[in-house]
Amino acid sequence: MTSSWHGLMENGGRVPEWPYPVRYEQEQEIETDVLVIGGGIAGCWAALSAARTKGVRVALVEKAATVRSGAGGPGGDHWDYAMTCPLMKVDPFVQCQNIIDGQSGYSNGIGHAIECQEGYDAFLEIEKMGAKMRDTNDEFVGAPGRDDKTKLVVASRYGQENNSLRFWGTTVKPTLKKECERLGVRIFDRIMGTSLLNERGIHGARVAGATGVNTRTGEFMIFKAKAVILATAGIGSVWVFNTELAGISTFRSRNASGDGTVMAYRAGAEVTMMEKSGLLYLGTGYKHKIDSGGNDPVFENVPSVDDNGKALPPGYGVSRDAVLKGEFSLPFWGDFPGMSEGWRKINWDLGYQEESTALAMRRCFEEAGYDPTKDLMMNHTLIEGSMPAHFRSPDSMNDRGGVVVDWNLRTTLEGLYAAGEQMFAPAAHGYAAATGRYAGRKAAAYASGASRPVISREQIVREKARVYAPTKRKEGIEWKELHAGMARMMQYFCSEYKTEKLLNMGLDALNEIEEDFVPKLYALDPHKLLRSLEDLNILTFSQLIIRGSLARKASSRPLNFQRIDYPQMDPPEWKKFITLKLVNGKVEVGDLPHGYWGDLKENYEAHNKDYKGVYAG
Amino acid sequence: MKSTRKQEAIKRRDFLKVSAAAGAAVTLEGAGGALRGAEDGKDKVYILPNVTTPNRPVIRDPEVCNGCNTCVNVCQVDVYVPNPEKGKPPITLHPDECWYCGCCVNECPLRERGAIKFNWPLQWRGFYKRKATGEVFRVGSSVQKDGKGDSARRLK
Ligand SMILES: Cc1cc2nc3c(=O)[nH]c(=O)nc-3n(C[C@H](O)[C@H](O)[C@H](O)COP(=O)(O)OP(=O)(O)OC[C@H]3O[C@@H](n4cnc5c(N)ncnc54)[C@H](O)[C@@H]3O)c2cc1C
Ligand code: SF4
Ligand code: SF4
Repeated sequence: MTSSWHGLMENGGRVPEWPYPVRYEQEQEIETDVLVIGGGIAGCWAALSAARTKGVRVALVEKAATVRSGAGGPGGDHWDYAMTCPLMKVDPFVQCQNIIDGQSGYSNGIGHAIECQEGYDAFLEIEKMGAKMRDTNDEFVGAPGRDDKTKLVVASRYGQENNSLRFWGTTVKPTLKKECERLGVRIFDRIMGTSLLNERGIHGARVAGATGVNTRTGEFMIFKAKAVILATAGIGSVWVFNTELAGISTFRSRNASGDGTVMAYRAGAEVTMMEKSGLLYLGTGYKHKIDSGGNDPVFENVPSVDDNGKALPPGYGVSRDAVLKGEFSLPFWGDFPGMSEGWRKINWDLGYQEESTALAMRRCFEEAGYDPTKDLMMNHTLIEGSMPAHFRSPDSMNDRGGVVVDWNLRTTLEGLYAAGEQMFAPAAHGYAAATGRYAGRKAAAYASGASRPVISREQIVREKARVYAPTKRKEGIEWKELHAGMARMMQYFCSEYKTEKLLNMGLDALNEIEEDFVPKLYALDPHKLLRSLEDLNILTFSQLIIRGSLARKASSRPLNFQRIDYPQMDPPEWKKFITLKLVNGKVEVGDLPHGYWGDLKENYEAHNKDYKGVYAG
Repeated sequence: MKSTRKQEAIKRRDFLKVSAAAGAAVTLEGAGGALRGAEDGKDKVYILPNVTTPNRPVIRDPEVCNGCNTCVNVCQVDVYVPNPEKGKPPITLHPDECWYCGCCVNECPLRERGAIKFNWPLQWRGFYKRKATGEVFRVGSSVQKDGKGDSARRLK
């Protein structure tokens, strides 16, 4: 018997029962002070930081297994903008402003101020907890950026300025989980948060808890909490759904399905930058890769050469024309042997070892005889006449839409906080750590003085009906087809070029899916139920992207936003955030000025007078 | 009946070791499955849908894997479920949801003994070129526990 499903079938031909007890409709109720939804980098930090406040009870709800969940679960190799590290040369607030300017104002200044000002404190704290954050084994002596006194490795990426600290990210998640446990955080793994509970069930009122469903048993979870922190990250597959070519591997696992953003929106919170949708490199662009992002196997600092060994301009700077004219011959290669030993070590023994999903693939190369000192690695840029397969750009990571926050990382709802990629225009690992840590602190302070939550049975009954609807049917449409159908609508009607007409057609098409197909959605087991519920979030998220796109009647380069009917790029009156909010069942469009956070340094300091720096306890 | 099966499986495995050494690009379980029908022709044939693509994120060695389910419980997306038979390798139920993060492989306590191996889908396997000779290789799948063996194929 093999361990495939059909192998199992051949073993007597009987379908085995679901391996976990099925508990649809059954309820478990938990009361806590601070509830964190999403146990990735930001969520774990939020939970442990809230738990440092005396007397505050903390619960953490995670869709997968906290020990390795989230984008940073497998690992990470660079920690950006730890600006208070003595090896960094730029002032934290100057750096923060540089980031904001680099994003032409479509940036989360508050998040970046926290990242630049407190990121290094988080870096030092996780080292104390047990993660490997410097070259303690002296493996990288002599490598560029390795500081012999501190053994920190400051290594630039893509030839940019030195503002990243390298770290050994595979050690991070288990360490964070252990610290959460040490501080008494109650961890609920394999629970998908499905909705937020408003105080007394009143839409838009203070958030007083959340509901969830167990992804293996289907059990219903009710959490009462004085404060809730959302840390479910963003969304990874709005436009792309093709398991055959790519697996569900759009630089994020399928678990990133926009849940937190949609939950917040449904509860009445404001979201912004939803129209940022970017360019797509669809085509056949799922090529060979070195990590689950479809990254070109040759990335970061590896110099590229053409097939005759001729150096390529840095950063994939070869045009299609140059290839057609024969100036460069295909295929192109990453010249690992041509790198200095130090750089090669940093790329291969640190980057490809620690950067998340690269480790298992690196091992494949090595077992296949690959030796970075001797061998060039084929790169897929321009191999079929198009750009690299970075379908991650539009809908997975940086600069995407999300929840609006203030200087406490509070959303526009009382009792509801957000951190990491959950917020609009998010960044990466160090950002998630610093903002999670900050949100935990602020939510705990709020919870310490807040009254006990009062939730409404009616809201729970409504949510249960919504959650279990797909389990009541045995046929209709399953989650994969629904997802594929939604992705196609987004490709057709909300892709690179946008017009009022196309966007309205897209909205209509999505509404039709909502009205005609969602009522047919069926789920045969708790796992398929989880995916079905995620689909419903992807649907709402997609609708919000189109709503935001319709509201922005101008084109914008930094938003990668091309309106054919409003071709003017970035007219001054449109340099602002567009916000969306649910009011009386309708979407209300609003706006926020760029730089709504005010003076960075002044406001950071005003809101953090009692900040104590690196945790001593 | 069952034990003769097992003996046959072992025989096949020996055969495979030989063929692997001879450079045949086969995988342990894959070839076993292919050979089974050809050998005895007695296995029942069932009504089964096409298998999903890709369908095999990892290859386990059932002789080494002890069914501890660490890989099941670390996976972000529940690609696997525990085998109904205790102590047996987990069942790959949702291979189409794998995001190739590698955690199941990295966390397996018996990885170094060969219990589990990453099995990169064919369409994602990369190429490399030996700088000194210009020979080009494609990353393949290794069938041998020590990780050496015919895991890359030279292209013409
Ligand atoms: C391959 C790869 C390599 C990377 N390398 C680096 C690097 O070297 N340096 C760097 O700075 N950044 C890197 N990043 C980015 C970095 O990992 C992320 O920015 C960071 O993890 C974001 O933290 P987060 O907590 O916001 O989200 P995540 O860490 O993704 O956590 C979100 C969590 O929420 C959970 N969740 C989702 N929905 C629900 C729900 N409804 N209920 C409960 N839980 C839910 C998810 O399961 C997940 O665990 C990398 C990312 C990838 C994918
Ligand atoms: S493959 Fe490894 S982790 Fe998975 S069940 Fe077998 S021994 Fe355990
Ligand atoms: S590679 Fe990652 S997603 Fe795929 S089965 Fe293993 S743990 Fe799960």
